[in-house]
Amino acid sequence: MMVVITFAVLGLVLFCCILFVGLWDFPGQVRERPAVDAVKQMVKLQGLSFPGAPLLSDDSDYRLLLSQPALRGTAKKLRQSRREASLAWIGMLRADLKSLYRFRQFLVGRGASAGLGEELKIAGAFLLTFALLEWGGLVIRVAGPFALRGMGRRVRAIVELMSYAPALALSRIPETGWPEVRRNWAQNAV
Amino acid sequence: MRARYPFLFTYLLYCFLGMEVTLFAIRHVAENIYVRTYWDLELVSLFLRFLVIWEIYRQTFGNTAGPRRTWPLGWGGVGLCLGLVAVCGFTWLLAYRSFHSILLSLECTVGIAQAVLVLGALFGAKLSGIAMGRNMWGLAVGLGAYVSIGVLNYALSDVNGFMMRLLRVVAPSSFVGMVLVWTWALWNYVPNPQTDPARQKLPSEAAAWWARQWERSRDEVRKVVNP
Repeated sequence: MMVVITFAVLGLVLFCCILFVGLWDFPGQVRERPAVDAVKQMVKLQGLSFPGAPLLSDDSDYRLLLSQPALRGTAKKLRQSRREASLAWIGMLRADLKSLYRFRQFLVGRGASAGLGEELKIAGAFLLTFALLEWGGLVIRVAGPFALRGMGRRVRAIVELMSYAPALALSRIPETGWPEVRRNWAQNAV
Repeated sequence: MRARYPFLFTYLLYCFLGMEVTLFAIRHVAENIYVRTYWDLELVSLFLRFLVIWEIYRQTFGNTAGPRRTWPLGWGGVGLCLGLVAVCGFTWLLAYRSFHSILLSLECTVGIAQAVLVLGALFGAKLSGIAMGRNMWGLAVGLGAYVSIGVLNYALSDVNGFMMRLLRVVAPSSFVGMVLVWTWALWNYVPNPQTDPARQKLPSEAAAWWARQWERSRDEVRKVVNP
């Protein structure tokens, strides 16, 4: 009986996931560009600031090495180190995402709250971005760092988009209050 | 459709001619073999759904412009598929012991594998930044929703058959729903937008910078490890 019920629950979960992923889009963009910039200054985002991310999933140097029989061993080592670097970068993005979510919660606690609809939408977007990062990590572990071309660029763009969520909340606080927010957050983060 | 989406066309042709027409004829000619024939044909249809999934993967990951393939997984993909088959085999063994019907257990395990594959395609497209056209999006969401509802229905229907009445309504309705979504999605030819080849190409300066920095960082690591 347990197995049967597990199958039923799994079917329901898969149905929800497929609809969620199929119909999902990110929360709207923030018009106030200063708020986005301020968020990037206030929250330390190591993964997003890594400049070589788009090149992590680019396999041109790997293929170049692989085309020379004498360098195949080096190509394998490159692939291994690229895999580790990609996984480390995914971990950094995960930390960035957590920081962004915590920062948003911090702002909401200071009166920058929106309606329930927006809260749910943003929570869902964060959740799905986490799932996407986990899925990306799984693909890299199983299929290697070059499995999804352009993944680096895309993942970065997705996490960057999520910085709009706290920026949206920050834009509801008057700009004169931002230095205080920055100070309090710095104390809070320590 | 036959030229653009041949695998989908094969599945639809089978569903219409192989199942609907044949079963309609059998129901009116030889009703005593209807049930057995239905399940035989349904089993074939179950495995033919993999053709539709292949069509989704082929159109989404195999069609992107660029100097090389975007079809990404290679041996890793083969490994993933083998892993999925192994998990399905294991769950099927579990299901076979628990379910009262071998056919329902097969529907559930294969359905889960198919739903996971469809979800993987949707996730993969989102993660790789591949925009799905209306055709493939509708095909993936419609099929994914249908097979996952199928898993739910077939699992519940096996609980002493008390959900059988519901199954009689929900299962065909979900199939009709999928066909409606497909009809809407495929009414016009809207393939996946081609990825701009210019965006795929990385600037050579950046690649050279990356190679230099990478080599430098590896040297630094080597120095630290073997001073």
